[in-house]
Amino acid sequence: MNIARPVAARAHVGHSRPRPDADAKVRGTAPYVDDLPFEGLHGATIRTPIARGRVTGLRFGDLSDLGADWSEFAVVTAQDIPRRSAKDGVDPNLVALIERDQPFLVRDAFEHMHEPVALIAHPSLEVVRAAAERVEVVVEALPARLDFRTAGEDAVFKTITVRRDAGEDADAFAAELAACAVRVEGVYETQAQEQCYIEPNGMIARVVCDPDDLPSPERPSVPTWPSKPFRVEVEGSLQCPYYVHKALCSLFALPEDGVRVAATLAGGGFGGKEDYPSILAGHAGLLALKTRRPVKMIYDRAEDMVATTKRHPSQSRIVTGHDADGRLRCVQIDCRMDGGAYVTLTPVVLSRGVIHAVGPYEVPHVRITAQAVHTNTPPHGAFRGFGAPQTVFAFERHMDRVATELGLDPAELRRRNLVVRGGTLAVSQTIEEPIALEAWLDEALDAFDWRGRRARAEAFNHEAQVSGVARRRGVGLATFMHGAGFTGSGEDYLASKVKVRATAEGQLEICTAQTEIGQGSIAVFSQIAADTMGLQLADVAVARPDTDQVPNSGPTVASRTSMVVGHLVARASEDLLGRLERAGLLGEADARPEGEALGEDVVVGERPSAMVQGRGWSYRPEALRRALAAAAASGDAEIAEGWAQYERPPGGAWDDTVYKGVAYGTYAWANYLAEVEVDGLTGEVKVLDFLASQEIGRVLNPLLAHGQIEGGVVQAIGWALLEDCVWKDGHLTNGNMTNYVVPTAADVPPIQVRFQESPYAYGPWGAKGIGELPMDGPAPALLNAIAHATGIDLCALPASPERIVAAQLAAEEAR
Amino acid sequence: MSGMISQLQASRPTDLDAALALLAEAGDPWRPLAGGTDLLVEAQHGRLQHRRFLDLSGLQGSLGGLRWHADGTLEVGALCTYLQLQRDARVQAEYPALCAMARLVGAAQIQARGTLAGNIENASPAADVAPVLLALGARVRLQSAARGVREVALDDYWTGYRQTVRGQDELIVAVLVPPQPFGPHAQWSRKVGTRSWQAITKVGIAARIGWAEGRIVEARIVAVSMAATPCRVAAIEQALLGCSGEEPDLAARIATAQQSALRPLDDVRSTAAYRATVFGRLVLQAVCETKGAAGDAGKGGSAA
Repeated sequence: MNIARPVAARAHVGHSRPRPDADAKVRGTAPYVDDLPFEGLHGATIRTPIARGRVTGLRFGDLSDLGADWSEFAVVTAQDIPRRSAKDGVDPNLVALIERDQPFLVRDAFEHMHEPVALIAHPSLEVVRAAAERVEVVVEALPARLDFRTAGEDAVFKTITVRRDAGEDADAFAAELAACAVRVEGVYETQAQEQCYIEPNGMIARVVCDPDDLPSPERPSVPTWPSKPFRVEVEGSLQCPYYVHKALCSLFALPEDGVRVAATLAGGGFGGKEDYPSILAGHAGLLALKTRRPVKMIYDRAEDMVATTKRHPSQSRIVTGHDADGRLRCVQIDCRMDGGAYVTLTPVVLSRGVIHAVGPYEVPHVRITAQAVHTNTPPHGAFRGFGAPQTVFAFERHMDRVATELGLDPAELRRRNLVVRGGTLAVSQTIEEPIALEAWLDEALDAFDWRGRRARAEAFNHEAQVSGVARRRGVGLATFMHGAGFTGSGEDYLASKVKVRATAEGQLEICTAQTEIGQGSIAVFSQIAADTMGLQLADVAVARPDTDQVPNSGPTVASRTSMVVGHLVARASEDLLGRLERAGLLGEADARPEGEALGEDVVVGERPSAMVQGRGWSYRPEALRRALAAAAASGDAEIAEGWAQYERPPGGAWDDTVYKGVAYGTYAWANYLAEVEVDGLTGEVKVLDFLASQEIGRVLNPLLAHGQIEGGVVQAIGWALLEDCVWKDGHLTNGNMTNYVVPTAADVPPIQVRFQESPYAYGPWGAKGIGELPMDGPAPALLNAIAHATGIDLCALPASPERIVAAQLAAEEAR
Repeated sequence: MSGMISQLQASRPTDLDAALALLAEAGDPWRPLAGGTDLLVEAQHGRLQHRRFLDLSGLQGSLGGLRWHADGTLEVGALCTYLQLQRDARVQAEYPALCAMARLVGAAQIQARGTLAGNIENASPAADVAPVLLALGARVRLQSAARGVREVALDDYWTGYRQTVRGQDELIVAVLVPPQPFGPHAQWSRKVGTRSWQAITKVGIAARIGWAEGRIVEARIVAVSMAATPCRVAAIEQALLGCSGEEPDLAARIATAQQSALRPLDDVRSTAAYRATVFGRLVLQAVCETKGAAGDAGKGGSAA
């Protein structure tokens, strides 16, 4: 029976509902992993002292001045881990990710500095930390490869090529390029970046095993691996519970129900807690297994910075060929990214970089070759943007250099090349959605008074030059897009599932594996479910991500939480509504009478998406609550649970072998503008003003969407102007917040955030992902503004005062 | 080799004699602890060299606050914080460079705890306020149980990288800043860090440049983060004497003088080339701006 009229409505979506988790976080009462009540041992990690070599031994130094003795410690090395898994025959010491090449603990050869060799545990945190520094890792040094740019082809472990039209053939492409009226070349470099989440990595592990496997007075020491079935449970700060789950099942050769992974509140992630927590969970789990006691491992800032992942450094060589009016005819890009010592997530980062490398422009002939290279540094990993900021920087900086070459306004050059609906991106993806990139560009330019500002900056500079003042102003632009969700067929492989369930209190509980890492997922999921069902926000709760309780809805990455998983939340809520109706728990008597007010800010007639019927607000809220409570009381999951699993939207597919097709179901499109002032004496750059304009489908929560964009812009200002990882012999020498310089509030300009909404049919109420988008545009916009201000044509990040002054001196020399 | 904070020893005397008696003890030296803003960072990074700490917080009565001597000398007590200093109206009027730099130390929390004496004794080549004190001709008053009181000009106080003349039985009890012969307009300082606030100086200058009849008659030029300690650059000071600031080759003269006197380093925060180039430019800017200020002050004076 389906009595409900299609009344789709929204009372919460589109409104700035506060985050349910905000109050405790703002007050400082929210418990993070290190705040949880804990009784057990504290673990510490012993690491390699150089970039490459073999471990030949461990020397345990004297602890008498600490009042301690090594007999009080548990020590775990790779020797505690079997060489072949009883489960799948592979070496369980290798972390289960894309490739299995990274060890939890070094057995012999090692590939980077600060690689874990041994783990120690002790009841006192202070003692274990001091003792860890008394362990010497004895090594034989081997030559290390430290510069990804000059590394030979033998260091390349992943190559991706994109070919379009004449780009399929090298000679044909060369001929096309030679025929272009204008050719411009450039080399662009970007540096590593540290995520600098507020809360460092931390994990607690517990082992549940048979009493026979526990130590006793008669048998004080037990083998590391229990003889009977056991369970490993971890909780900690992480983005992807099921990644950690997979890694632990493999390490401990346990079935899926032998491992439980629960997320604690996370003090930020930014990608830095995508893959690394698997290693830390493995370490804590190994110590817990060896000791049969709970073990907590919390990194301090220094250890977190030197040992965990950063953004991939990159180098892009770009050659473009244009018609005399600036229209792009040919693009050739040769891109390299530094993967560090192990494969980890690099192939996917490279892939996203490649797909975003030519931006939102229509180019007939394309030839891209991208390589990932091994070096002896800690593996580079996920960081907001995931490869796109690197290639977007290169191409958008290049576009300004083309405009200078042609004597064209940089905005006009972009306008002439923007892809239109029915047009095709570099990866041969035809844009089917309604887009209006030219109108969106003009809207942003007008809002920033692009022409007026450029003219005023030029007048200011003229005046300054005449009066001998060293300050110069400039205005810059970047035009770009960001695809949301996993690339290509990635979402098909993930096949994410979401469950919602009725509770005895008459509430709806949303069960996903998504972790709240500051982006507002709890608030947004609640808004989506409440509007789909017709509930108030107070009637909706979000379950803790815990692999014992929630289905695998995929990782909290790739701008996929609101768009992909949020859509599943809507569909699962819809599914439950249908079950309640079919069970007779909702009927005619419960229908909201025709014409009854839906509430002050309820908008009638908008559907959540093409895949959701949108019958929310068909029933009275009190009837829904009663039905939910009754469903829960029935104890029948068929009535009390709603489910949804990912289904690929209709349309073309992605072909991974030739890198052609629908790379992403949709893109967010953006224009970012910046005005800067450069102090010619010191090379310091002050960002005077910033505008971030983007089309994001539908704004689910304006306050949170603004926050996402502003935060991303600030993080990208840091990458563009301040942050630099200083490496020496494979060691990060500025691994602290004193010398790794992130922006403070004083470095942040006014940021004007503007949204356009062109709903995406397969996102909740049309929403697209926005988490990564704001990381892509600021760096090229700022360096373009610096070039406008000073004529200094910087092509490498960061645009540090040192680089600017060096460029001034080089220019003086050349004169 | 790092120890554990729980193994450290601290003592909190409530009168100066007791503090000096502790400092005079044989054995492990006592390290004075005032605001703790440098010391706690060392502790966090496992770099503490000392095991015994003399907590000075009980000595506010004898070491706190500011005093003015009859001759106009400013006496800054060893426990006077940056915040207390920058809030004093007379200090603002007479030592504007000192207040300006005090406002750039760390952030508000650091300024509320950190002390000028601690900044001097920490002996960082990148110090914020100590270089201004050197440019202003300040002296450090040390006291010990056995030797009593002595005063050391800041010019002679730092003997090497993070080294000072203070004996382990001595305590800084005050910093003395003399009245300024050329008034507030001769004082000039600039800190160049990578970000606007919470920055460590990668190159900086503190200067006192006295003008008379359009010529430089006195120059005290202090280089920051350019050598092992903040230091005066005598070669530049001499090169500036008698200059009008209009000389077309002034930048070259400064560069030549600087080359012989300073050898900045490449390090984790910046490059030698950047430091050398920008320091020369800052000297020139100090000359131009103090000249302008002196001229404006002169005009203001004649109008009054």
